[in-house]
Amino acid sequence: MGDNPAAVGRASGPGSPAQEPEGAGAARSDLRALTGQGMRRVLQTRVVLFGISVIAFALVRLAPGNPAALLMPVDATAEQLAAMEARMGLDQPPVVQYFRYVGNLVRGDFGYSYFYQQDVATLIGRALPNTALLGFAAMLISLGIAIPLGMLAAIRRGTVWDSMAMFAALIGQSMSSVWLAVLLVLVFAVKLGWLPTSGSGGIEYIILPALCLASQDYALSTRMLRSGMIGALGQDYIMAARARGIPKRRVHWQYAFKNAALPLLTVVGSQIGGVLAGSLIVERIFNWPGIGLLMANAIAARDFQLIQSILLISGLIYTVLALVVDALYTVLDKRIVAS
Amino acid sequence: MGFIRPKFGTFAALGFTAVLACTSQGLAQETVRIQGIENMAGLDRYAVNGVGQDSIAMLWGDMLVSSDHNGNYTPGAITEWLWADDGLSVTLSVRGGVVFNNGEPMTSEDIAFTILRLKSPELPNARAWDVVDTVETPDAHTAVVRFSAPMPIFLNLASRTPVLDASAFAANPAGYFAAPIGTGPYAVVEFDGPTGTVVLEKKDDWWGWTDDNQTNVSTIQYRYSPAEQSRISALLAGEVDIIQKVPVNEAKRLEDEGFSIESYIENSQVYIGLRVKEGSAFADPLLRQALSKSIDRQAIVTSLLGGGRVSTWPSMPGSVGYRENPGYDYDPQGAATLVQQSGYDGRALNFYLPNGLFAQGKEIGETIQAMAAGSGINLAVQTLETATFQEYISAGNYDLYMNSFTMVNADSFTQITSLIGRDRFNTGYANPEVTRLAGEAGVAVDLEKRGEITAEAYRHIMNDFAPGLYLYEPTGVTASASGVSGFVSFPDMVADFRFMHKD
Amino acid sequence: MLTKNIGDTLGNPTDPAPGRAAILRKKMLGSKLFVIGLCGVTIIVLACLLGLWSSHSGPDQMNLAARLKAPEWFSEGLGGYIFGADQLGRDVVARVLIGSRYSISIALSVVLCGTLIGVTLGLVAGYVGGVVDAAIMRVVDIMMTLPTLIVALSFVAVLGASIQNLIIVLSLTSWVLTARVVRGSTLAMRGSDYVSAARVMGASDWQIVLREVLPNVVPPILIMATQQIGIILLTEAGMSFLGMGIPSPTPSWGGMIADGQAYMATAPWVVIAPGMALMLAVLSFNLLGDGLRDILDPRSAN
Repeated sequence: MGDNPAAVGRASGPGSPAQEPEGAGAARSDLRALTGQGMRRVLQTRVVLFGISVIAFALVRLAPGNPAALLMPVDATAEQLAAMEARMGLDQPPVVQYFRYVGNLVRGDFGYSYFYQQDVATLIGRALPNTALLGFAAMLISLGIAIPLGMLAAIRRGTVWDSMAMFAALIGQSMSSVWLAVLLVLVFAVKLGWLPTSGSGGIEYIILPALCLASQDYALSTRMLRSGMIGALGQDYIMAARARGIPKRRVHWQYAFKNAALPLLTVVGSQIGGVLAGSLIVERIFNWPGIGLLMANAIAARDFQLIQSILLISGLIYTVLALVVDALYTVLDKRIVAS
Repeated sequence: MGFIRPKFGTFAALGFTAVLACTSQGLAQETVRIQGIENMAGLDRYAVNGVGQDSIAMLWGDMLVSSDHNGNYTPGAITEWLWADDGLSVTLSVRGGVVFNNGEPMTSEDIAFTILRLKSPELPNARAWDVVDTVETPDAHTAVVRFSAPMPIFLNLASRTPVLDASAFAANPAGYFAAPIGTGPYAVVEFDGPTGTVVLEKKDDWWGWTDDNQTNVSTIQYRYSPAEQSRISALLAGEVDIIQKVPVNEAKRLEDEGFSIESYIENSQVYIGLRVKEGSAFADPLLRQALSKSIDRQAIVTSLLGGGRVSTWPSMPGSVGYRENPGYDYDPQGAATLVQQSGYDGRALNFYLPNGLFAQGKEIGETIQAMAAGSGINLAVQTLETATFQEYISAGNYDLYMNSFTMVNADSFTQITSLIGRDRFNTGYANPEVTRLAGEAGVAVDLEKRGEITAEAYRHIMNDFAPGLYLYEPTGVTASASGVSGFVSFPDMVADFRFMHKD
Repeated sequence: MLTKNIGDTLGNPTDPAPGRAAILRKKMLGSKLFVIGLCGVTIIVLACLLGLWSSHSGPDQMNLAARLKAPEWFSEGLGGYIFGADQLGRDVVARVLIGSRYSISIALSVVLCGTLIGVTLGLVAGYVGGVVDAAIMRVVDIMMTLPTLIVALSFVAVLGASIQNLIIVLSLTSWVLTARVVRGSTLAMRGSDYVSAARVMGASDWQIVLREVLPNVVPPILIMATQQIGIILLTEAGMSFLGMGIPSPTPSWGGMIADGQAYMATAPWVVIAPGMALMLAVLSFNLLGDGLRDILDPRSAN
């Protein structure tokens, strides 16, 4: 569900380059500006992470549902429930609970999952690589669709090809991922028997969930690439290159695409960072052992510390990735302009 | 259960398999893959809520006693149990020649440890064991359990309690259930909580294997799969051999596709809980009766569910305290008249349904909403996520709710003593007679006597139309690939996968 | 990066040349995406209106005898179950038509509220700057890392599920992107000659924001809002899947998909009808948005 707004939201990328100082000359001052900006961003990141920890803490407690009661049988007495709450530390005032949680975090302890009876760090550590893998596969699929479509739309701009390419790009984003997932399973797993219905294992298990995730993402990449290419194709140096008799294909891919790919980088970066939101439903439908499934189960069981730590870690990953992408963007941008 | 069994001894079979695995069908060491609805967050069934945990525990461990899940108990890890006359102690004879999968023999120490662990406050699900005082072990084959108060469901719970290895647990309490050490016919070789996956492998030295019950299934893979359509897809795609909890209306299709269907009426009831506390709409007995009369239970069972049995009593046939009864009337006109006579002002009443706790819940809720509306009762239906639902009903924050209750081993004990006797879901129902009877049932060790007491309480509940209106007992369906046989699905949704055969 | 593209290219003041309306009209008709999208949206609006008087039985009219009845098409004329009946024997066509009203009006309300919040906060952050800007932008950052599901779950649970609350909850999560883009454009505008000129002329901050800044952020807002409609429609479907949609028996497309999912294999029409309706609607609004981008983008002048 939330994958959609999140994907688009994230695509705007952190720190709009519009506010970056223009015309920084020497490479050294670039670097200095970059580190200065980096420091500021690191500071901002800490504020954001603090905010996430507070909001995550409040949100899980705001929603009805008592984690202790969910672990107890129907015949539990009020005293037994109270004892369980005390054991889970839920009898303390919220402020105390919060500072205890944060105190543990500082010591590298992400909390304990009463539902899974395991350390949160172990659970997240096991799930994270799987979600990363799924996110990576989805990104490959997304780019595999977006690059040809976007290039086609931009090069054949204004023609039927353009419209058809953009139409194709929007189809994926227009489907509810639940609907698409059920449809894909019925066709490719049940009817044709080509791919497994769910679970994890070899590469065949990753295709359907990755396709579902990618379907939400590739429209934006296509659109970014198209508008980037249109912009690039209108530049003087492209005209000059064409005038020099350099073949069309080479101009498009070597000159224009290089420029247009930059915004794409930000989109892709933020989509990887936002994979948690999208994976919540997809991983649950396909029983993919990643962060999304862990989160869905944690929410159902109101496993407070697990939910909080997942939100915090995904927030951290998102912000760090955003920083990296921004830095990469600035560096690559200078290099492309220089060349 | 008449299936072909390998004629060789286990040892010989193992030796041959290595050489002939691909060619010899009779000796093939098969894998059976199961998808079901038991939440496998952990393998300690007293730490994780859920009936179906038992099916897996029965594989890696031996239950203290065996059960036919209809109220009859037979020897398990315990071969004999002798009650003291006052019901305050029981002497258990420990089966000899039983070994854990770490090679250690099972002794009375292990039995004592298994029972005493359940008194630990860390185990949220073990509440009923509080009345255990001590467990004495006069010798390696005898354990004596002493109670501070009678424990009428000792055998019931003993049939759901796998024996643990005391010394292994002491050595590694935190990691014990990651790969539990048990005495059962299979051993856990792989477990993953978040995906609810358990892989078990057959132990050839289990005491219970005989020439007649030997299985050719060397590996059992169990996976938690909460969405019914996912389970069906997996079966159709040939990824699994057995799926539990198939919706009745899919049974026909699966049968046509060549799958084996096993169906039974569950030992569970779907019911409506009513908030009858002073000041709420259903405090008025006329309105309660009107609601009951407005519901066409038969139509729900035949047209909507396509199977099941209309409830006529607060427990199902075969359970403790069940008595033959004509059941509830369906009379929408009469219901409308009762609504007129009652003080009900027509305001919308909050009707909560749990999301995904039982099949077709929302459809049934909407149907009841339409039926009640026909008699002038205005219900506002809302489907709630399970955790929210439980909080709302525990707090009495509702006018009515729909829920299901499963009686494990066909025993109504928990329902009558806790749900009704202690008004667990805050209905506000306070019939002093019922409270008294529920209290008596809570200490009645003798089953016959407890049945009498419970039936008496049920009669009041039927007359009062409170705290619950019982609707139906659903049909349970298990589907399997043809060629897989020998598993048993009990009506309380526990399944016995120990003696399977796969062609 | 969306910020840059929309903000920079569309936020720049366009020349108030004569015949602007004519050019715009020409562009509109020239953009195939826009035309297709507009057609789609028109069909949906007509369907909403059609839902008001069509159908032999109301959308909540149950008939257990007709449970999961297969489509009769037009064999019974207009009075039959043209696209079959659902799991409670209700007419699928009637429910999809009435559902369109609820789904679309929820999406429109959410986008309206979300855009209002987003524009206000974006203008304030971009124009005032400093601590206010930093504070708003940190909230934006936090909102972006929190999955909508978690936020929505908590709020719906606290407020209770109803159409109004669903609108509130979704509005509270949908303003973020708008705020970010508006802030970017405002920042760019703040340093522009237009604003400096206005300031020299003695205009107050209010006047500058309303007269100089706001009109220039309208195009990107319009584009985003159009596309947000599609996103909200899908989010509503997701909320229904998780049991947090609008209460029954009121039909919504998302609710119909969620409830009918179990019958996808045996009675696919129950899910296909609302699924296709949803897809058509989201696609139309997305196309409209992309078309608008083409039209309003100054680079597409030629």
